[in-house]
Amino acid sequence: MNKRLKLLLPFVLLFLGVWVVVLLSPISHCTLWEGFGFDAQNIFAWKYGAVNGAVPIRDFFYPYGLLSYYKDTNLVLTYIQSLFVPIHILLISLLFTRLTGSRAKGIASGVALFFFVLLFSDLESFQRYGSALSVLIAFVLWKTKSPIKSFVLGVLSSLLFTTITDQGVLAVLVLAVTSCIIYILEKRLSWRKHLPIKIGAHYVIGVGVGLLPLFLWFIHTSSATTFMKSMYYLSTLVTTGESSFLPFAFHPENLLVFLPLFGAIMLMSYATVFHNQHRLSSLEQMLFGVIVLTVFLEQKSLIRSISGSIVFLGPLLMMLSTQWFLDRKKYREASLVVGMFTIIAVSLLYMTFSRVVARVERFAQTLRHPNPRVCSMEVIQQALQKFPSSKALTSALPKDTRIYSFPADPILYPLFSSPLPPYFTTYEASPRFAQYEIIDWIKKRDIDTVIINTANIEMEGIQHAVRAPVLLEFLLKNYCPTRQVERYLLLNRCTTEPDFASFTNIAPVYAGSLLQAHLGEIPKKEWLMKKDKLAEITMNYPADTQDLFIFVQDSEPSTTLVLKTKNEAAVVTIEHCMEGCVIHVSNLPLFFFPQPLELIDAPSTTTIRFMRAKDITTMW
Amino acid sequence: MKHYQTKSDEIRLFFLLCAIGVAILGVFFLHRGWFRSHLPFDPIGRDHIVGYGQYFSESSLFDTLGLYVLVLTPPISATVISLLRHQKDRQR
Repeated sequence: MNKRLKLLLPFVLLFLGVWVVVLLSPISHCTLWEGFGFDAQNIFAWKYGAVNGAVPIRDFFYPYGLLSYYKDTNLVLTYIQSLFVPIHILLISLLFTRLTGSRAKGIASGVALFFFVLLFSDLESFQRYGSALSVLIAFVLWKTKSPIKSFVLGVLSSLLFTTITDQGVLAVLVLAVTSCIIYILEKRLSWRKHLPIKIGAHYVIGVGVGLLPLFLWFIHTSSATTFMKSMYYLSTLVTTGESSFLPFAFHPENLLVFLPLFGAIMLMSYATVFHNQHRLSSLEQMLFGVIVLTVFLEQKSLIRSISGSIVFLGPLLMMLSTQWFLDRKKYREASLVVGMFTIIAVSLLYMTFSRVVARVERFAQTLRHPNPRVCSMEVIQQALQKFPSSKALTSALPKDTRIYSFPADPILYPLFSSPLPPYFTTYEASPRFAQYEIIDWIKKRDIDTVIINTANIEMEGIQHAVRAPVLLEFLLKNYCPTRQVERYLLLNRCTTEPDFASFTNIAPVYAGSLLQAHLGEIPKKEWLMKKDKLAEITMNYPADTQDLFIFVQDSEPSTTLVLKTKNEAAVVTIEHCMEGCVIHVSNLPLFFFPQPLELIDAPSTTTIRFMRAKDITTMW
Repeated sequence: MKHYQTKSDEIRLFFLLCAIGVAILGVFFLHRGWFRSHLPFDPIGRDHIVGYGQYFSESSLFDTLGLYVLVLTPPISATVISLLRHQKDRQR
């Protein structure tokens, strides 16, 4: 056998082996994931949009890039996307072959990481979050001193931006920051030395050239403005999203990333001061790059926790750190790193064992349908049968009813062959302009029926009624409840004057949930930031609640108020009102329907005053 | 011999500074309730989102700060050591 072929054969076999596993997995099938969470439903609704010719970004919010959207309509694109994971694993193997000087160790590293992904994460996340890592590995393996290579890396980064939007941005950021770190530490960043500038300029030109297909798509679909708007939207969503305090304190997966991350940062800081070298090795360049990548990826936890998706970065950091010790024959330190990591990984496996079993079971199920398939309406209709409420809902409403689903059941759009709204869930509709956009869409599309999932009251600790009050007010004032089908409340256009009592009659449990408002620190922030926009007024009970604000001051950390009307009472919980809090009464579901406030029950430690705002558009 | 003593002093100082950073994070974590209730400013400062921006100030801001305390402690420690070493070299 040819010697070169003999050298390459193990890598080719590894690539093909991983590719086969990916093709068998659910990411290559037009399927509806079990569990029917809003994530799974979103993905399925996008598939439905792709089959029906809807344009992502222009017609609805879509953050994942064009490839994963259009691959559902084209088998060739499905195969192209399925190549991402094998490419990531191949590059990781090549990297470790270079770092360890052994082909066997390199391949073993790639295989070990692949199994780690299958056990602790999932192929879909690795396909996405491993992409910027692959560009980084190409950067380190290539030792980019040539402007041409830098140009090619630029093209690759922006092609990645076209296919998986966030990963393209990440690749550019990671390469820029890592290069700066390398040049600063090697003392090569100087205006007198032209090479870094030349390389940087070629990279930027490469990025520009790589963006051409995306610009052509913008022109073809007239979606350039909406694309820019969606970028701005993401920055707003960051401030309205929610995540738990210090992710690693609550998610065991994060320990697997944070501890190796902190260890790697310690190691590289230590090496910079105490192992002062003129040049950084490929291993050190890679370690710096993966540290930067992990820190950037952790920023997504600002929107939602990303712990499970990027867990593969933990072992990668651990493997690189261990190799750094092995290169210096520090075997004790190397075994310490491996030992500590193994303890955490085994503990995690123990803690999340049921999830691991579920993951393996899901994968095993897909073996029944081993061939990748594209989506068609027929395949979508087949998959929809799995949705538990599909029969009950389709018997209750005609098949082609134009619906809007609140707060987050996007699977109902394909179920009724209904058009897709600009944002599928109230989580995505957190920014106020997004709520107005949905209202406009409902008016323009002349939506017949609103379907409210009465069992879905809150998401990640925040009530939908608190997150999207403008949208909910529009829905409850324009659509009246007609009946409840399983957990779904059906609302049609109002023919009579809407009131809160109709909700209490038809869906008493849901109406009860609307009467409870957990506002947390919203009233405190409102008072702190907007007190100059409020003026005190004198008012007697019964008080007109239209655009009414209540000022509350309490020495206790938590305050519960009961706002009573003639027939109902809203219970409002607020926090930390020592300096003052202000509640926008009209934004509480009970007062969507104007009615006088008869009385406020409050603890004896509380001071209450009535206020009006000069401009309510800037208030919660 | 003297050189090695200096180096081991530096190593000790490096780990001490890292430990101080982690301790700050620990205090921050244990007393997060106090920090939350006493923040006298809005971390976003944009009027139209302040209302529901509470979630940013309560949790995400602390996530970010916690992450950066962890991430920046070792490089800051390394920079302090380098500066001290540089100053010592100049004195010589």
